[in-house]
Formats: sequence, C-alpha cells, structure tokens
Amino acid sequence: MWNYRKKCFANSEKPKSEIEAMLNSELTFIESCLRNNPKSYGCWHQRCFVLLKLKTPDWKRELQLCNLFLQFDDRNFHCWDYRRFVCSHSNHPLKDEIDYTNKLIESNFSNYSSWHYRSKLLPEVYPDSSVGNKIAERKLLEELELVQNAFFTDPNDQSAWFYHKWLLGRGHPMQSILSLHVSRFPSTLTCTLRKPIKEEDCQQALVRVNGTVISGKWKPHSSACYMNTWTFTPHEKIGTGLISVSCQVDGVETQITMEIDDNEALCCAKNTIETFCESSSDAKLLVLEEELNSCRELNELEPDNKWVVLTLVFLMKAIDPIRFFSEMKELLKSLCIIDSKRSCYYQDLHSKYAVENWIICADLQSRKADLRNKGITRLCHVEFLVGLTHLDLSHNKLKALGSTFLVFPWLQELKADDNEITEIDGLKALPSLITLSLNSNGTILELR
Amino acid sequence: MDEVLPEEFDVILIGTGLPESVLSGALSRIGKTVLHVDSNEYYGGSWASFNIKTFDKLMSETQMHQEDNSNPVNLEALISEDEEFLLMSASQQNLSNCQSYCYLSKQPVEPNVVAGPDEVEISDEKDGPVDVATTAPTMVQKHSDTEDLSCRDVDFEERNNSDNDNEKPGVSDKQSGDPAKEKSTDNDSRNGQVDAFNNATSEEKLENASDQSSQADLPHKETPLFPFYEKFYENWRRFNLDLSPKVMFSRGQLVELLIQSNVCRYLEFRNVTRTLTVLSGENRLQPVPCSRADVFKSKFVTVVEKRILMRFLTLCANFEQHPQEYEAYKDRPFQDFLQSKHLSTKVQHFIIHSIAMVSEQTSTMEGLHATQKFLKSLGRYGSSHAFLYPMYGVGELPQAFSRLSAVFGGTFCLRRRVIGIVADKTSRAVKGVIDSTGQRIKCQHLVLDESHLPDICRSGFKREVSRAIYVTNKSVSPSETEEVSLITLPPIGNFPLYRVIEAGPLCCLSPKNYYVVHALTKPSCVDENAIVDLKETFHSAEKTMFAGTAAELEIANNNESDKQKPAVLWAAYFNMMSCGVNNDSLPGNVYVMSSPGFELGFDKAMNEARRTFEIICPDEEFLPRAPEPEEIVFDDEGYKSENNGNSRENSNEQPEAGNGDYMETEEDLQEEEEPDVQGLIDQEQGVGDHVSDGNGDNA
Repeated sequence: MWNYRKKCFANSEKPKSEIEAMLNSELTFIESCLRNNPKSYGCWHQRCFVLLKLKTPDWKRELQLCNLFLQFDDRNFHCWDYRRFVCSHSNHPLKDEIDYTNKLIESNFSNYSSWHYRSKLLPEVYPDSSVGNKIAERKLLEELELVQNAFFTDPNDQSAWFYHKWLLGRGHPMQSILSLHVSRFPSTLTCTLRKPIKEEDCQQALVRVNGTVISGKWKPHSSACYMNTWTFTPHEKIGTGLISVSCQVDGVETQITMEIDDNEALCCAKNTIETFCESSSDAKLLVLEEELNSCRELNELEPDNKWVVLTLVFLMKAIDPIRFFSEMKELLKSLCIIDSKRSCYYQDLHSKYAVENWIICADLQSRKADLRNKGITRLCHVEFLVGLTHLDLSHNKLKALGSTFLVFPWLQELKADDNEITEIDGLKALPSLITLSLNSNGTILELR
Repeated sequence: MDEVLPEEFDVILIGTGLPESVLSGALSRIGKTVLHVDSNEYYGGSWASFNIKTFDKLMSETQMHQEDNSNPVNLEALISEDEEFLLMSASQQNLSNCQSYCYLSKQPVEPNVVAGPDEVEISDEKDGPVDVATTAPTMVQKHSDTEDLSCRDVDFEERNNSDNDNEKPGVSDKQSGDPAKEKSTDNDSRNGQVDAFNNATSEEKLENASDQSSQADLPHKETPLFPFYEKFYENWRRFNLDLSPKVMFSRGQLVELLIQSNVCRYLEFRNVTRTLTVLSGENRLQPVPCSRADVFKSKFVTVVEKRILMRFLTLCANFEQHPQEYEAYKDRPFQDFLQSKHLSTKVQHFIIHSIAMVSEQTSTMEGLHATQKFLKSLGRYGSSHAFLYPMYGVGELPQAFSRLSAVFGGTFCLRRRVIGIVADKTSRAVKGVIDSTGQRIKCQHLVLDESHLPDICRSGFKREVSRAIYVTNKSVSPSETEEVSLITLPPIGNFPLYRVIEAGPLCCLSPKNYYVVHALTKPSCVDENAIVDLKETFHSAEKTMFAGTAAELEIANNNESDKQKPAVLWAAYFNMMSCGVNNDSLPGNVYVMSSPGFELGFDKAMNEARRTFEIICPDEEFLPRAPEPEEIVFDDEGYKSENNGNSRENSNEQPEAGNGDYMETEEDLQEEEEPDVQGLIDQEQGVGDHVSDGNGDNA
C-alpha cells in the first residue's frame, strides 16, 4: 500500500506546490497511522520518503515527533532509527542528542536503546585522537562514572553492564604485521597480519629485496575471502647473501634481515600488554582501580551476581591482565557455577586471557610454544602463533583441534596429550607436521 | 440564606470539610436526603483554600466572633419537655494566633519628595488600620497592627477561657510577656519608617530610609529587586492558599475513592515532582532519591550507598515475604533496623524522614509499613512520583465531593448556622437541629465537624498544627522545570520537625513567578497555653529555605550571600486548633469528623468518612461510580444542572495542560482509570460559589 502511494507521488504530474501540499497532508496522515501502530516499518519508511521529497522539510518538528513517540515507548527502535535518519539529514547538533539520551537515561536507565545511541554519538562528538571508534578519555571517565551509578542502583539490569563493557572494550585493533617469514628455498615470503585482509588489498602489497621492488604472486593461506596470513611467491628466486627484505601491506610495513647462511628467517612483532588492551593513562588507571574497588564492594553486597563478577574480570583485564590473572581465573571459575548455562563462554574467555598472557610474555622468535596446563578450552589468537614449529598443548581442556589449526605452515611437533579432544579436522592441513601426540584424549570421532 | 428549608432530612451535616463532604456525597449518591450546612460563606471549613485577599481578611478576622445578626430564637417554642437542647459552640475556634504580613514596598507616589511616601503611608495607615487589602504597606508592613492583634489575641484567649477553665494559667503569661515582645520585634522590622524620622539617633535606620527614597527617585532606571505591593496584589485572585495543605498518596484511599466514585472528573492533579530534605549539619536542600531513577541520578550518595539503599527499598516493597530479615527488630526502633542493614547515616535520614516519614523511634514494623506505603504509591502516575496534589489547592477536594452530593440531590446551605441540637432525653438520640433562623429541622443522623461540636461535648482545646504560609519570588531550590516539592526538615536542636509543600503556577496556586510554600509543624506540647511566637517557631525552617524577607533583602541590597534562595514576599502564620470529643455527652447518632491534623495524606479522613458511612448505611456501597453527565437521562432538575456544569468545562481548559499532562494521561491509561480530568471549577469564580449549580435544589 505504501509503495503504491509512493508511486503516486513520484509519478504525479501536478504542479509542485500542489504536490508539496499533498506531501504535507501525507505527513499528517502518517502521523495518525503511527499513533495507531507506532511500530510499523511501512509508516516510518514512508515518512522518510516524504521528508526527502519535501523541499523544506521541518526537521525540528520531526524531532519533536520522535520525542513524543519515545516518551511513550523509549525502546521503540523504529523511532530510534527514524531519529537517526532525521539527525543525519538535519544537521541537528549531536551534542543535543547526547543531552537527549542523558534525559532518557535519567528517567529510565534500563533502556539499552538510549545507551546504544549514546555509544554511537560519543565517538563522533568526542573523538579520540589516536584510536578510531573510541571516545576521548575525559569523556570516557565521565561515562564510566555515569554507568557505575546505573549498575549500582540496579545490578540486575543488563543495559548498564553492556554499556560498561563497551566503554572498557578497546577500539578495533590497529593493523600491524605480526610476523614475516622469508625462506630462500623454496623462495617464499609469508606475512601474517593482525587484521585479515582481502586479496585485492594484498595484491597491492610491495615486497622489496634490498630496496628493490620485486614482483610475484600473493596467495592466501586458505580459500577464505579474508585472511591473516598470505604467502608471496616471487617470480624470481630470492638471491643468496645478506639480504634485507621489507614488506609493505595494508598501510603497514616491516623489515627482516637474512644472514648469509640462513635458509629462512622469521621476524615477530614484539607484544606487550597493550597488544591486547588499550594503553591507559594514569588518570584512567586510577579511575579503573577505584571502580574495581567499588565493584568488589558490590560483589560483597550482591554475592553471586554474574554481571558484577564478569565486570570485575573485565576491569582487571583493563587494568593489568597479568597481575590479576590468577584472580580472574578464580572469578571466571565461579562464574561457571553461578551462570552455568554460559560456562563455555567463561571458559573460552579464560582461554583467551591465558593465551594472551602467554603471548605477551613469550619469545615467539624461538618458534616453540609451551601452553601446557593452562586450562584452555580453545586456542585463540592463532595469528600470533603462525611461525611456530613446536606446540605443546598438553593437559588442557581442548575438545577439538579444528580449523583454527590450519594456520601452522611450519609446525613440526604438536603435543596435545591429556585433553578432551574428539575431533582433529584441523590437522590435515599441517604440511610440516612430523610428530603428533594425542595421548589420553577422547575417542577421535572422525577424520575427514 | 434565610430561605425556609424542608422539614426533614435523613442526614444533616454541619461543616463542609473533606470528611463531611465525602460523607455527604456518599449519602446523596445512594439516595439519602442530605442537608449540608456551613456557617461560613465558603466551602471546605478547615480544608478550604483562599485567594490572598480573602486569606489576609481571614487572618485578621478569625479572632472576632461571628456576628450573630439573627433574631434570638425562642427555643421553648421549639423544644418539648422530653427533649434536651445542646447549644452549639458560638464560634468556630479552629484558628488562632493568626497573623499575615506583606514585605513589599509600596510603589512610590511622589518620587521627588523624599518624605512623601511615608506621609502617604501614615495617612493610609490611619484610614484602613485592619483591612489588609487597602492598607498601604511601609517597607515592612504588618497588615494588622501588631499591638492591636495581640490585644485581640488576649481577648480571644480570655473568651476562650470563660468557656473553658482549664486554660486560665496561660493568660497572665501572655499578657505580661507577649505584647511587649511583639512590639519590639515589630519595631525592628518596621525599620524606621515613621520611627526613623522621629528618632534621629537611629542613624542606620535613617540611612535605610533615605536609601529607599533614593531608590524611589529612580524607579525606572533601576528595576527594583521585588515587585511593588500593588503589583503583587493585582493578582490576588490567582492565589490559592490552603488552610490544610496535604498531598495524596497515589495509592492512598482518596485516590482510589476519586477513581471509584468518578468524582475525579471534577478535579485535576499534578504530580509532586520531587522530595527534598536537609541533612543534619547542612543548610542546603537536597533531593531525596526515592525512585530507581532518582537513585540513579542522585549525586549526593555514593554508588555503594545507592546499592544498599536500593536493596533496602526492594526488601521493604514486600517485606512480609522476608520475615527473617526483620524478625529480630520487630519491637525495636526503626533506626536500629536501618543500622543493621548497614545503611549510612545519610541514607537512614532519607528513609526515616522523607520516605517512611516517621521518626527515629518509630517501631520497625510501623517504619516498614510506612516505607511500603510510599513505595506502593511510587510510579503509579509518572515513574518516579508517589504523590499527587490537586490543582487550585486542597480546597478543591471537599468541593468536588460536595458537588457530587449536590448533583445527587443534596441540599447545600452556606452562611447558615445551626445554633443547637435537639436530642431525646430518654433515648439520647438526636431528633433534629435548630438553625439561626429559628427553623427546626428533623434528621435521623447528624454529622458534625469538630469545630461545630456543642460546647458540653468538648474536652479541651489544643493547638494541633502550627502553620506558616509564604509567598516567595522563586522556588526554594530552583531547577529547569517547575517542580512541586515535598520537603521534610527534620528536627534540629530545639526546633521541631517541619513538613513543607511548595508549589506554584503549575498547580495554579500562584500567579507566574511566585511560589507558595506551606510549612506545618506540631506545636511543642510543653505548655499548651503558652503563647508561642509563631515566627519564632518557624525561624529555623525559614533560615534553611529562604534568604530572608523582601524587606530585609532590600535593605541588605546586593548582599551576595544566599542569592540562590528565594525571598519571602508575603507570609502568614496561624495555629490550627482541635478539640477532644467527650463521647459520653454525645448523642448516639451524632458523628464527629476530626480536623485535618498533621497527617500528610488523607487516609485518616477517608477512613473516618467510610466508617461513619458504614454505621449510617450498613449495607450500602460506599461511593459507587457516578455516571458521566452524558449517561444521564435528561429528565430531572438535578441532572440538568450537572449538564450546565459540564458546559463550563470547555471554557475552563487550562493552558498548562500541555505535554507534561499528556504524558501523565498516557501513563494513567495503563492504570485502571484516569483521574486527571479537567477541572470544572472556574478559578475566577469567587470562593463559595463553586457548587452553586447544586444549590438550585434547595431553592
């Protein structure tokens, strides 16, 4: 029906002033429709259509309309969408919109719509100079305080916790080259990136040997569209002698020097705590520490509230994942009991932190990884481990050696004794694997 | 109103206060014949609201006995041998110690003549010494001459004593001490208008006076700090000042009754939008976090306090289900219980004084019930509001019920005094009343408000509530949007607990830019008869809430301190009296309704009305829903007038009924029914005419 009406407007041959009047009456009509059903996709879309058709749409009025509808139902996402549409077309100051979310949150903070809108607005109004998609620290600290008030008032309300997690969460990591591997025979160069890229982007990468750009072909490590690891086969073989190879890809560059006698060389980026969490200024650390303390208090007041415990973990992670690791481990363990339905999530979270901590401290250059007794259920951040030749995953809780294991081109020895492995699909694509140990595991179901 | 009334009614009600009016409505509604009389010329009795001129007049007149102009009634002709006659109290002694003040200066008449204004004022003062409306103010003008007033107080007191011997000890006290004291303060506050010019030694005063005159020289260049007296009184009709300000618990009996009976269609309400208090040791009003949103917003409590508070409130909301939590504290003070829950002093203060509204020593069970009552009311109309306040003041409530009564055939008669009750000597039952015109009217039951009780049924007078009313130039705690505030000032040192309600133009209590602040406190019961200076009684509350009076501030001029706080432009003080009922001397079918009292809500009054109704009509429904005018078949005089009333509705739409209202309306729809209907009462109408359409019945 709405489409039919749209067509009428689009094809009408009436004079412009008349159409304008018709459009205006259409607005009134839509409004009355919305009063009947404020959650009709059609109505809201029609309204967007009409407003774009109008010569001088009254955006202010539309904003008021949004206010009205949100007053009745502050979680009407149709209206939120429409509000964003209005704001994006009307140059309405975004700061006013933040104030608006302030108002809504004040009247009812159990409203994730407002928090979410806020999370969209803040990075635009208070952009952080260094990292994209984040907000300036001053504002961040204010927001932390605000949201803390919310979850202390009602710790069973999810919206505040989710918003808090968003605040703590780092922005998207920056692109970087995690490792670069060069081999003379066969002549290849393997580059592992932090963020996966598409083939088109990769083909634009530049490989220089001793400063000269050489041509060749990039191949993804598997058939997926986006990949972290790409292998470059030059048209001409890489020469002998001391060479310096550099690779520039997706806006980042790294360099590796190969000694005369070496057949291959691996260069891994140095990892620090900042690799996995945002660097924090002293001021922010102070606030986070305070928050940690008040959350501990909250935990005492509200024992066994999963949101509190989980947030404790997140806070510790943000402050110092290594110092707090054992405590985080305990908390995550208790979470598995409190919230048993999500125990796998908590275990995976623990695995993630364990692996991260290992990566931070490990000497990846040695190409040997000892991840025994970490209690991990899942191996993540494998892109950091691409260069490994030896990997020991014994005495963990792994259930499968799945497709994540497809990434080790040089892995010679893999030990995974005393796990719960029943699936080893990932092993079939380990070209260099020599030793495999899978003692004390479940029954391997199948190997395709 | 000297018309002859019908000879017989089922029930006669004397006094048009809230419980009487509710009863009157309930009785008419089920078809009882009802005569409702009030010796006043206004509805509401101790529950009435007045405009500011009427209020001034009331304050200056209450001490005087109402002139009884009617011819003496020949009682012997009306009463037979086997009947006894109980004389009604000659005066309504429900107010005492009344004073009202306006602190605004008069607009200068002759700006160039320095002494001009004063001369004018002096002469004016002579012209109209008592009538406030015409009295010219000096910079600080007490409307009724203080000395005069205190003399009258004494007079009143003495007359009182002649009625009641118990009160005698207080008299000498008062006569010796008080007038002198009052006089001295009066001199101070007058700050040398006449005095200053007569007394050259008082340099400071002279300065002030000349300051003022120089200010008067430039009336157009400098905007005065405060509006002139004339300007203030220009809008006298737009004030609605309650004798007994109260707020309605959103889940209280009154609200239920208004909805159930459909009386709400005569009324409009506003939410009480915030609760304020003062923490000990501070001199600043703070919002009390009551609802979830308040707690979230509050900047005055730490996050941990927030959590503990929320936990506690959640517990209180259905405490019956967790007896293990409070079992041990059942008979101990509420405060001990709060302490056991690790609530901080600040949060304890909030709960005791502003949420439960009890005292530290209240028992835990009582405290829990009070907290629960508050929490139940929270969120019914507006997510974070627990109270409603009627627009145009509490005085609208009795009128609305009176209207219901009139619509269903009740006969109303204002300005008609009942001089006494006729009771059967043997059965001790009331047979009827005799009014001031000498008419004897029969009745089955008689309902009286306390102030109309026959003297012999009284058991002594006492001050029940001390009141102060202020008109200020801004809110006690200004904010972006106009608020309706409920304020608790807990007892500090020698000062008692005050309850304060502040509202303004939003509730149509005052014209734009003015606020009305009602303060209530329980008089200290140290000596019932000692005359208390009410200004002194409210001193601590005033210090907390106001910067000072307009007159004081004008002298201090540009005093930076307390700029935030409002100035008092007008103030009135009085005591509300109540008397005990001597039930032994009361005939069985006479029911006495209590005075409004100190209670914040209306539950006590509603209970009383309901109980009385159940005694009079044991098997009838109390206030069933009244039909809408359009549902009524158009065949009856009484209903016709209802429709007339309805036509007035349209002309009465309040401009304030904007978005905020709309919002409330929506919320109400989620509830069962909508009490927020348009007010029928035309504000411009004089007090006392409100139910006039119902009066057609008794013509």
